[in-house]
Amino acid sequence: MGEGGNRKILVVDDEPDAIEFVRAVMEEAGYEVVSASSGDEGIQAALAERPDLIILDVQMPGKDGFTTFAEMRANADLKGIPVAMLTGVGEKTGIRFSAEDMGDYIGAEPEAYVEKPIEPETLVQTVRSLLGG
Amino acid sequence: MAKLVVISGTTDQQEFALADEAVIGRSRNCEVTVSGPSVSRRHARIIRNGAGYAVEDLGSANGTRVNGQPVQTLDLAHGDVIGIGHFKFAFQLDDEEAPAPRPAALQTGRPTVMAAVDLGGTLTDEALASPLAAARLRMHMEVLQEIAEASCGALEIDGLVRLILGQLLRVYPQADHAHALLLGLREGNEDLSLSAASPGDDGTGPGMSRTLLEIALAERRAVLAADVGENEELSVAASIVGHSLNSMMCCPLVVGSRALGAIQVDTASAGAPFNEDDLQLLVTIAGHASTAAENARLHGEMVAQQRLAAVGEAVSSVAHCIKNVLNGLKGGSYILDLGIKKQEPERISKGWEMVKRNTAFMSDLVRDMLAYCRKGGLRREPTDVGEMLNETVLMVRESAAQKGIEVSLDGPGKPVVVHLDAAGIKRAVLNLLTNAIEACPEGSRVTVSAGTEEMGSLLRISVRDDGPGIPPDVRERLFEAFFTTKGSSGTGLGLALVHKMAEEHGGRVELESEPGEGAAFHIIISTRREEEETSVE
Repeated sequence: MGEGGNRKILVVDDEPDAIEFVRAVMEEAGYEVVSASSGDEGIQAALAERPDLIILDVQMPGKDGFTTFAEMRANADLKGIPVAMLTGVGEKTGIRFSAEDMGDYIGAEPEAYVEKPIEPETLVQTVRSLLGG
Repeated sequence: MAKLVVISGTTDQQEFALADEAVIGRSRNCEVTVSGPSVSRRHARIIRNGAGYAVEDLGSANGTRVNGQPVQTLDLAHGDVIGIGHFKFAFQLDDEEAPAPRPAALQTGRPTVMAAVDLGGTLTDEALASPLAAARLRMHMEVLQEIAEASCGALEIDGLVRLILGQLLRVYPQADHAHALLLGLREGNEDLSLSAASPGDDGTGPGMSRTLLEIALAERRAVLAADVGENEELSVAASIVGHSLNSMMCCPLVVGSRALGAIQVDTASAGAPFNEDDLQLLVTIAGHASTAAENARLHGEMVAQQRLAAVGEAVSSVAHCIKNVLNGLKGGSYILDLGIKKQEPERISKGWEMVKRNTAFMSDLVRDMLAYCRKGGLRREPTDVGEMLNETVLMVRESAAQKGIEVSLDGPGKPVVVHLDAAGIKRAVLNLLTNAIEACPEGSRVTVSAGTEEMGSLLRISVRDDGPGIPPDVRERLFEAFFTTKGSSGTGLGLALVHKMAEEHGGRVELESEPGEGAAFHIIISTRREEEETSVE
């Protein structure tokens, strides 16, 4: 929960422009937005800010989106946070881990995928449906 | 006659005929010109020595390999694979006695089958017992060894088939013609069909017998037959003395349960028609030929797929870049609209900046792609190297300083004027600079330096940084087009362009780097004015 009862969203993307875009859209829709520019920063920020939802980019240099996602799901403090993956391809780019590897955690896949270029309406609806309003 | 067939790496030609000496290297003066960062200007040569050929490394930077092993000098055998940089060539010796093949014409006479042998049949104990059998067996072994050796290195179907046809004519001295049919191997699923005739043949003989072919393929057996050729009025008895009795053998080429095609030999020599021993030998030859043909076919497919995969990767890389740019443009417009709607000048400004930035990136990407695909056409003019580099450094110094990175120019000590494509070299140095600035943390230093070497015949421009360095696995792929470590903000073409620019100037790029020890990129080009390249080793 953010200040003033607003839901808080964490955006993780190496592209500053992409972060600005998501921030503008989500703030317009009434959410509070915090951001991180890499997988590692994203995990730190998630632990520090305890967002209600994480929007995570798939393609980042260094630690990519799926690896970051796997680490978040493996973390007891973070695994309950729903994740929407930002992807640049028309279909899911493949999951490289399995339930057996990850042990007990909620869900083997991100809760949603959002395609780039982002359609503001679609993003807002996706987030709303994941957070229930 | 010998030749090199390219089996790995992209080149202008698929095959290179070899004369008495052929030098392989990057220089355009070489008989075999291949270009790549790991190929030296004069890398190796293949020379005729006596009846054969040998390969000799010419002091190349990365060495020469034969069948995977590094060599200095080595006599070559047919089928050897020569490795130079990331290129691989198969060395092939054509059989000089084999007559040139021509497309087979199918004829539709009706042959009489006189014997048939199962494929992969074994010799019976009785057959092995006779003294004649021992002599025949030995001959068979020799022939098979020849064929196996000759065909095991052949990776290109046409050459392989010609080789086998030549061997068939040698093995059966009475044969007038040998034919081979490989199903569906040509474009549009057409069959590959070749024939060879023995020396002295006037080439008007019968083509491959369609009927015999059908019998052999249907029964999956080798068949021996005779027919009365074109003169159908003669009875078999009468034509034994005459000249239109053909003795023929046909054996299918089979791999597993798949028929690849068939081989056939025929003779009009009434005194020496083929017999069952000949047929048995044909079965074994066909066995080897089938395996070799299948191998060659699979190899061809694999090479084609690799090429497609490379194109696919490049296209997908470009598409990905463009999607990110579109995302940035969309974002910028969205923020711009919001700013206008809410009358917030800061937002308007921010949105507009995003649009401009992404449009510029798109423009850069297109320019880089076009530059990368452009074939030749440098605009060389006398250029003051110091001035050129100074301008380049100025372009990035401020934005680098904002990141806390110092960019400086070191040298050249005295004015150096070189005939080069200033715009191109500037672009290359700029690419190296922006890479260094992006990769380095605050407090780092990037230094551009220039100087001449080898008594003024070479110009070396270096971009050195004290940043994190480049790990070996990345170093290997660094100059590949579309390879980037920058996620969505790299075009992957920056270094590929640097490499291309250096090569077009008859020079090269070198990289020194270890993780933790920074990186130094060197562009080394010739200072000579003529088209002819000087020795850049």
